[in-house]
Amino acid sequence: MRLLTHNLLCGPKGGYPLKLKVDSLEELEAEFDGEYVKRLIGKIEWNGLLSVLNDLHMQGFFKEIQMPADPPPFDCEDEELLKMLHHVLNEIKVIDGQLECPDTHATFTVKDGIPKMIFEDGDVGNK
Amino acid sequence: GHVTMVLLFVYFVYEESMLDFRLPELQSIADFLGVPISWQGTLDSVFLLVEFGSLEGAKRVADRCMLVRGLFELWGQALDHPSLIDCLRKSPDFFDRHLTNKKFKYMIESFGRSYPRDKQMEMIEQFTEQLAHGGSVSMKDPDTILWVFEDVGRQMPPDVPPKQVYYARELHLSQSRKVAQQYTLKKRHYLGTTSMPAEYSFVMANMAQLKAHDMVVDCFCGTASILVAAGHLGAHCYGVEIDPRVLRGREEGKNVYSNFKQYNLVKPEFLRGDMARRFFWRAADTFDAILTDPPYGARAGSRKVNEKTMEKIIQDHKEGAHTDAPIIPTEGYELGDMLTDLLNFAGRMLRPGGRLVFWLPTTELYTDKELPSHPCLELLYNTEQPITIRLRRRLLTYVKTKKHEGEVATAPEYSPDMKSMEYQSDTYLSYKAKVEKKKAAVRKYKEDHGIPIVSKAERRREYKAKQQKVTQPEQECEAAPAADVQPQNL
Repeated sequence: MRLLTHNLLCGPKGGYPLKLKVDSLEELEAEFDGEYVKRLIGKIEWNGLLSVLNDLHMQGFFKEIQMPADPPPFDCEDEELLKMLHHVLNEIKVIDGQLECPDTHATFTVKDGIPKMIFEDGDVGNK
Repeated sequence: GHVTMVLLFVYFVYEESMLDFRLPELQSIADFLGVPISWQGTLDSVFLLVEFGSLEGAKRVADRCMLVRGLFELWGQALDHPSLIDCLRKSPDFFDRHLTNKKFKYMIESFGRSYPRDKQMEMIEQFTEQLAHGGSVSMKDPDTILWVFEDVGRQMPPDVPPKQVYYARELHLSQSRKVAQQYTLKKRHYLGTTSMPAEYSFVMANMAQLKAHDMVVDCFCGTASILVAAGHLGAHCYGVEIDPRVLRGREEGKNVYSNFKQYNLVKPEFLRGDMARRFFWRAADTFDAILTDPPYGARAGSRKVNEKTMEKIIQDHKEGAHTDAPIIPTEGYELGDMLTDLLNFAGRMLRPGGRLVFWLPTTELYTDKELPSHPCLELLYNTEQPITIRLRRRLLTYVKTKKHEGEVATAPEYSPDMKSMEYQSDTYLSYKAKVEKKKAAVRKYKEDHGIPIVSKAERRREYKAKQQKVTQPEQECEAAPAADVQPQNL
């Protein structure tokens, strides 16, 4: 599950961002296309991205990644920022871990890179 | 300004299951590439005169269309070769421009018939001599490639003359043939029973007008065979699948990622999810396209799970053997429910202008009343593909025309009695009559020739008994019961 995908997901009642706990992570290489990354700016939820990067930082996976507090504009020309955005969204993949809904506390496992987004009524966690 | 159209002779693919898809695919790609296009009449076999905005545009269209073989400049047509030659003598300009002092080669192509090499050479000689068009033959490096086409028709007896013969100069052969060969299922590393043949996947991608960096989802992805085509076109792919076993595969190293590795394509994102409970997508308007071959459910006549198998599955599940596998649902995913789920999903998740392309299972008795609908989705194309005697399916292409407001898709009631309806269709009944006739003939033959008639059940019992004998020789030694032999009172 790439971090871009994480940003597209929510919990059973629409709650996001899903809190991420990582058991294993992979970094891959993906071709950079500036126009595509700019289009992604419109699709992602910026605070959700900052939040998941913080989750990863707190678990010791990265030293703090310098991301602006506010989303860049749609016509952003800052190549360095676009490349960094490309790296976090497309080149970081969670292999094993867990997602937790901030509202219902329902949990979803990630196994072999695939999140199990299946929720039975009565699956709500205890918190 | 006024656009001067070029009139080209288009040579299409003949594939029994894709006949009705050729012109819709052509239209969809021409629209996508911004190439004006128009034609008259119908595509009865494989040839059609089509006007394009430009030759350059036509080439781009041909390369993307899986069902186009090539583009040609038509010089003449007639009912037979001698008439064709007469017709061509009246157009010396073509020959002056493309053959005088030029290198050429000929291709003979007959739709419905094949000629051995020497017969082809004979035809070529006839044309070359009688037209006396000059130029020199070059097989490797011709300036001009001339094709003589014959339209005979499928499965015609050898004495039937062609319906029409054509003489045309090759302008461009489509690159799509190479793509089809590259992605053929015959060489695919990971396949399942529902894997979609490459041509169909690419036609779906063309109906959806996919381009590089589009975000595409297959919400019933299975082995992700449709996403392979999307990946080739540079789309970012998402696959949703409820069953972990088809994603995981049955063998080490053969799973849903294997095909993308094989073709060196970017791996899709997969998610396990249930389309009936698709809560997990945060935002609307996310996807540029949805391409899918959904489960046909109750309509396809889902078989009842065998009772013993069912018990074992439940037992295994309780014992935790397959904790990951979903229990076989006691109610199937009804076709009507699946379609409303799919259209509601599309209505929300497609960006305005994005397309939904999917297969709808149906029969010979199809009417448009079977179509599902959604106020934000407009139906653009609807083409039929035969599958078996009883079953057909339709490739439907919808476009999202306005923003989504709530779950509002509707689907008609699909008769639960569809199975019996299928068995009453004319095609099935005439097929059944043929089978019965053949069985009666076989029975009569056996009677006339004194061959014993053995029932199917009896034959199966005999076969099983033979199998047991073959596999049991060792066991017989162990299993021979130690007979409790009592001394006889003699």
